[in-house]
Amino acid sequence: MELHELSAKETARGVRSKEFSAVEVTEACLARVDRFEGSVNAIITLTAEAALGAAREIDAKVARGEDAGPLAGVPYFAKDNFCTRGVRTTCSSKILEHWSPTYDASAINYMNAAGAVMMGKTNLDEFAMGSSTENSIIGPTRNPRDLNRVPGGSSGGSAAAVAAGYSPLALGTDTGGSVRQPACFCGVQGMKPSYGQVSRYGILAYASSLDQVSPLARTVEDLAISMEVLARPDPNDTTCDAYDRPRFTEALSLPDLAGKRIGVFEGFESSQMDAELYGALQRAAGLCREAGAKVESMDLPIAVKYGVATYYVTALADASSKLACYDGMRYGSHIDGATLNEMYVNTRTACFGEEVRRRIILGTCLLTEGFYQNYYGPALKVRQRMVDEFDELFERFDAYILPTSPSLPYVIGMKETDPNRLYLGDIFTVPISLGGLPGINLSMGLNALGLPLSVQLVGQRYFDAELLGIASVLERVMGKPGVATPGDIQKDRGAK
Amino acid sequence: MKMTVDQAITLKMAKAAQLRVEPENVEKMMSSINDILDFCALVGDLDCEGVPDFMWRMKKLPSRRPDVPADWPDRELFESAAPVFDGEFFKTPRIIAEG
Repeated sequence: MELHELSAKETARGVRSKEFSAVEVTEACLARVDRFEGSVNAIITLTAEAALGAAREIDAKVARGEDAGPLAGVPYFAKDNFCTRGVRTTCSSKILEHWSPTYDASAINYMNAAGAVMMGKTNLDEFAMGSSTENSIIGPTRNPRDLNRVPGGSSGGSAAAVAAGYSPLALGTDTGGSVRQPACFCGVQGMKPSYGQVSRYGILAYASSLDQVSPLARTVEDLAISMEVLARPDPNDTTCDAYDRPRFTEALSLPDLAGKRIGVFEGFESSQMDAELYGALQRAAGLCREAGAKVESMDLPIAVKYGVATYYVTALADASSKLACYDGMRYGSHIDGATLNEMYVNTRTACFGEEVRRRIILGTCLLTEGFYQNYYGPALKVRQRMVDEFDELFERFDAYILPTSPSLPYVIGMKETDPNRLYLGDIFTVPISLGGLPGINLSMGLNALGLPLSVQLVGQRYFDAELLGIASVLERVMGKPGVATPGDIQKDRGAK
Repeated sequence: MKMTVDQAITLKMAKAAQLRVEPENVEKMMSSINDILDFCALVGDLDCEGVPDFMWRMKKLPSRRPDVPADWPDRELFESAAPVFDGEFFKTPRIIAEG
């Protein structure tokens, strides 16, 4: 096995035992970037020199016999909406095109303190508003499993980096599925923790009541190790819970699913989703049964029917207020005007993309008299009904299995013009975000075309460790996703 | 209750959001906003009589910083991030237009 194919755990173990150096691992991953990035376009900013410097420091620590951390020498990429001190952080937007933050996000601090080596910043849909990573200042990222297709989004660059073997780990943010869906499209594992598990300090927000820092990896064990590094109280984020997290890796010793009650989502007609993804769901249910779980079908009638509408009302209202801070004054791009207001308008109009402008205007609308009473207020109540629905089901089940996406990754440029239909791609992920529940995209192998299949495991809020345990049992049977070797771009290859 | 925006409301909302919609794009913006409002009106269909507004429930109290004054570290670094800075202040255009 080559160095770029190792998991984070294998990498850290090898670095600590001096089987190979952190510099060698970093160089192997940089070589991978050098070979494929011209085709994949996953990276906005590559910090090769800084990464090699950090790797040398890890090697020096190991040489001195010091503890180099649980992620010693493990390369990772961060989505370009994590603040990184002195490293450009664009959010894929012209409004932050040349901005370098003055501090690191807490998640970045935790990763670096654990010995991980940051390699750079990855592509996303502008301000994380999208599901395909096509809407970016550097252009679209291509899916390493099939370069003609999108990697999903908005954390498509991070998912593509892990799938292409640029790094064993990456950080993304998941607001309504922005880590789980690209993990699904790129054939890797991705976890959205419970809301409140991981600090959002230093994350450029899209929707603060939903955003969660979320790891991507090629093994469930690496997700668990990442969670041990990332999940902790942070006085800089009051939405981050102040309680001692469990040892997430200890949950991986679960031998089987005996005694577990697993719900399999059956609240749709099989014709409403891709047949192979429906098959993957049935297969996962069968594996749970074989592993000793009691498996029953279940439905989420409120979450599925009202989830997407509730999500968009909530997220757009959040976004309109969060993105008010981009005023061209204190940081970011600036376009002059004769008055202060004219300068605001000139800057924001020229430097936000069309989709971002539309969402801000719509969010502003939803918070005004009349619209608030008919949309935002009801959405808050529907969200509570959804949480109640989840709570009732968790009296019967320990975890659910749902699809992550109703469709396989689609061809780049096949943009859905009807925004309502486009948003329905998020139908299985947004309810989980609205409920603050942990969700894991679990890879279920590839189809005959080499496109990834997967399912989504969902657990009770704060039961992230237990969910990782269930995922690890299924992964033992299914196998871990391998590194993709991006091939030629075939322009005539149609969508399935 | 389903609601819609017309061109005047679209422009008013854009102004409130400190954004400009060019005249040739108003119709398209209005139309896409109305499409989404039409879809999102679904949230009014569910019976939520007596249901409280959603609020995050924390497992324990949230993390909090001590409520004490703290120095601003690296003042020059913050200032250097400003796109237009005159050495001491963030430089702004006139706040009120002349005339």
